[in-house]
Amino acid sequence: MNCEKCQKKVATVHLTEIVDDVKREVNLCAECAAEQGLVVPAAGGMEVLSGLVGEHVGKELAAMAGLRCPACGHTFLAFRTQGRLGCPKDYEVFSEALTPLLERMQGGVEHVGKVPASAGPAARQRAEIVALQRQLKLAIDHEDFERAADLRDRIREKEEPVGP
Amino acid sequence: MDLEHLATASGEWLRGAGPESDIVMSSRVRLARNVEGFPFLGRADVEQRRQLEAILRDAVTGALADAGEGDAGVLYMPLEDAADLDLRLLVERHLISRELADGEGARGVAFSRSEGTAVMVNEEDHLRAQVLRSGLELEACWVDLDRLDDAVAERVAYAFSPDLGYLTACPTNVGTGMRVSVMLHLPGLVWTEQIPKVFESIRRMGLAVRGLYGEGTQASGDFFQVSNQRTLGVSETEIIGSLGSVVPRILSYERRAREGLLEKSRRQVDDRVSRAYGMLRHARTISSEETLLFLSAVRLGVNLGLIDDLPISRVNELFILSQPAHLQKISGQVLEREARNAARAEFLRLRLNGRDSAGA
Repeated sequence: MNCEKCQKKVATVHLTEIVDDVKREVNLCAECAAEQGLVVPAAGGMEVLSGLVGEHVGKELAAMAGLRCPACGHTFLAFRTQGRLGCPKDYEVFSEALTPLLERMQGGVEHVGKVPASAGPAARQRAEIVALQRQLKLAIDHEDFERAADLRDRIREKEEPVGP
Repeated sequence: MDLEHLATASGEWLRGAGPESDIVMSSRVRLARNVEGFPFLGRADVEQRRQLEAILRDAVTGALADAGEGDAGVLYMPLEDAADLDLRLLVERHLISRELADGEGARGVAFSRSEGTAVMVNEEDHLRAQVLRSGLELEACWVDLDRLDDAVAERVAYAFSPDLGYLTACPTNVGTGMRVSVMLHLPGLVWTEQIPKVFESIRRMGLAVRGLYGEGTQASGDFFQVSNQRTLGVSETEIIGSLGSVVPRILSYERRAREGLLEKSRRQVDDRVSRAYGMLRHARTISSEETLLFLSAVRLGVNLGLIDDLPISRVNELFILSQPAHLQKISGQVLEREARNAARAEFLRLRLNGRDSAGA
């Protein structure tokens, strides 16, 4: 997502404003946020992030700022300022802090799409179950109980462990 | 590699065929992928970038050959030492992004001769693969890209997690890694000033609207790119389905706007289209902004039947060929802005006055 103000840089500051009961999302890059007085630019990185995170995301996340990935050395702070992760492992290392972000950005936190062959049969089976569960939810929403029962049976079958 | 042939011809996706091609210029699906065991590019050192480029160059050219593009049809162009003009040319043709052109270090692009498939190596992610088609053909794009993706996955292991899907440098792409977009020509909605209203409803449905060259660019002329925002928690077919349900609605608004223009102000529309056509055929110097505006009016004129001596494919390719890097390639020299505007006017005169049969 790009900054709403300059339209150029990646938005790393996500703010929810409530004015007169009207909720508004503001997404800005670090520089534009600083211009608007949302971040103190002169402060050291840690303070900027702690302030930001502490104020808008929740105090417990401030502790995440110092997290460092043992594989690539990327810190959560670096991610928040650059908008890019350092390596695939970061998703695990920063998981606690990333999950609420993903929820807000993506609206979902669980992959339900394609699975590469290299991920193995268990991952493929899991993907099939997730897809069936989504169909089941839809069927129930549409009160199509016959289809729902059928889907539930298929999910049970799939949930049996993969044979030897 | 020699890019001269690119400058004078255009990719198949511009031929102006395919469903709804009076409004939908092109459909595009792209996937972001990374190789397991390597950091993302922001953290990769020179040597790791080099290794990635070598691994992916083989994997991608092999996969493209397998996916039916055939050996002779696949080009791989390393970009580390590419001339600036060549990089701009590839950007103007939508074969690479500005980010890849402006990047550093070992990187490259593989593409089919038809230019329908292009795979960027070492952009924001290790791999960015796209399939582009003329008209509204999202499912067909996905079928081709899915196959190519499988063929690459046979050669390299992707960074993938069962929970989060394909892991990408930016969390806005994680999950499917998929961005689906259509390039829409919406002069009817622009001329009748309904664009803000339509955009608002597109955004409310969770889709993004951008200008001609994607992220961070202002919408240019009357061209707009509509794409999905979510990549996680939705499947590939659901993403395609979400555009598939919204785009026809935009098309019907645009058609209604065009009909309204013809009914209520036919003379003014005809005049505007004809003036634009006249400018393109007779101007002695013309900027790229003006060209874009006039070509947009002419494209509308062709689609409304107000201009009947011009095939739509020729109009479509002029959008690409009249851009700065293309003009300089065609003329074989670096041209400053003023000289470029004169060269552009001359090129348009040749192409539009029927004295040049090269692009017929």
